[in-house]
Amino acid sequence: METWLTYEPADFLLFSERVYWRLFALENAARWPLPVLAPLALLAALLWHLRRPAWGLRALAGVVALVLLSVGWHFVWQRYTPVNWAAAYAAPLYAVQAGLIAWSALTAPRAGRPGSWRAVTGRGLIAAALIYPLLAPVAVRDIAGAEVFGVAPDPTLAAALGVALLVPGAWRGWILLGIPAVLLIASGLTRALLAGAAALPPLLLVAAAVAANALAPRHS
Amino acid sequence: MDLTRRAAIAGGLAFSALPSAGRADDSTLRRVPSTGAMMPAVGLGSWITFNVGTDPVLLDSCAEVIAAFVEEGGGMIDSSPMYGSSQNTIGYGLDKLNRPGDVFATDKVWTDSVANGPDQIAESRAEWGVDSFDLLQVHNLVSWRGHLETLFAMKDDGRLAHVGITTSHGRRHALTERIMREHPIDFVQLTYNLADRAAEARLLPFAREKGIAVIANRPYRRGALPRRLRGAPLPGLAAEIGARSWPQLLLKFILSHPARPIAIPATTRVGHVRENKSAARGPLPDAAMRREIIAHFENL
Repeated sequence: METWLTYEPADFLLFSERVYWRLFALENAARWPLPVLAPLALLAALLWHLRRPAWGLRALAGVVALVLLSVGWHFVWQRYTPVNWAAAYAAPLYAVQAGLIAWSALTAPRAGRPGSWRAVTGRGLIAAALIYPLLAPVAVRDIAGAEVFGVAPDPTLAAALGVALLVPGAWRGWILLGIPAVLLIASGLTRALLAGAAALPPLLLVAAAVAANALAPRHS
Repeated sequence: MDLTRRAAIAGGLAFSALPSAGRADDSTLRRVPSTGAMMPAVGLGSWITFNVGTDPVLLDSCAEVIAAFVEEGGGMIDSSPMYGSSQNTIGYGLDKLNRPGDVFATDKVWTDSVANGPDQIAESRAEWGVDSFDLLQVHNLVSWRGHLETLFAMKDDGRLAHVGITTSHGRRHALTERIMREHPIDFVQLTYNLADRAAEARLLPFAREKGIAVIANRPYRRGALPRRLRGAPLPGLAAEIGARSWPQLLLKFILSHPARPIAIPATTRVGHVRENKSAARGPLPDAAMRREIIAHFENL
């Protein structure tokens, strides 16, 4: 233990920025046409939720749970773990979160109040997951390496945060927020070490979700 | 002569083709005091630079770096299980070169569990694609007592040529010195560069006194030193010793220490490999010049 305490966070960052961003380009190419189909499925579920909140929520939960399994296996375990051994500990959490979302959506008696700030923030986070790829051109990175819902972790976790806020009951929200919040904070810290400003999007997503759930009335 | 496997490993067969006369005085070469094995003074690190996962483009790019390193004389390539996919990248590069002989395969054991050490070493061998390592080190002194026992047992059995320990960032020098005093290690790896000279106080002179070979890691502070010095004037003596750039001067400074360290800069660029290798050629600064380089650096 004494030895471990001599390490600094930067000592565990064992890959370069170039390697990190190329992971997304390689995964987008390997999973094609998922980078198009997964966001379309999420958009369709979101639109359904706007018309039929209860069934739409189940559709959203189903889509997000499925892609969490896929991202945890394909991206985190197969692609990210070879350059970051700590990711091996994160990969199983994607499966746990998929199970939690599926359980929560199926057992929730109804959707949350559609007009509440909590639900609005939830839908906002799902919309953020859909437009997340635009961060690549904003940051002057190649669009081929954009982070896309269903392929890359952070937009997928953003959608998971959104679903957590759409499920009624703040306590269910906290259960569902835990894992994606921790994983997004880890992503933010990694990016802070790699590229500074790139840390902001995942950390802002977590802040928005936590604030919305904390400020929500008990039964929203 | 019928060489046994053990004698072959201990003698550093990879570099047996080097001319024997006067080679210990050659500034481009280093001799391991405990075994007499010879190798080039500039090796190749793999921290961060070779951790490219399964990216086929970057794997090929790293293989080109290894090819250039071998073409320039080869020598120590250093890695660790801690360095992500770096070991696999080295194995990939060596495969592409049809397993060149002039590589001094250097790795580490890095696990809290002493019992897991042999399995980790076996995995490292598989990643590299080698039967045995020329040097294995206890990484950052993690569970050092137990791992040293394992490594010395391997050396006694002829399954390992050299044993070492590593530290970095100036950490735990007192314990490092104690291990150097109490255990018959062949190598000590530590951080030494123009900006990090804590090892000059005790470890470097003690290594020289004990006949322990020194490996200098972080020669460029992970690239921060050349970046910081970009555009800064070189000292006037740089031309006298054939240093055309700050990276070359930084390496010449390390290599000129009387403990005769082996420097292991890591890079992703073929041009940098060649520049690093060329730093060992030609004259190195003497004691007065070293003082002048330090003064110049500290006044920048």
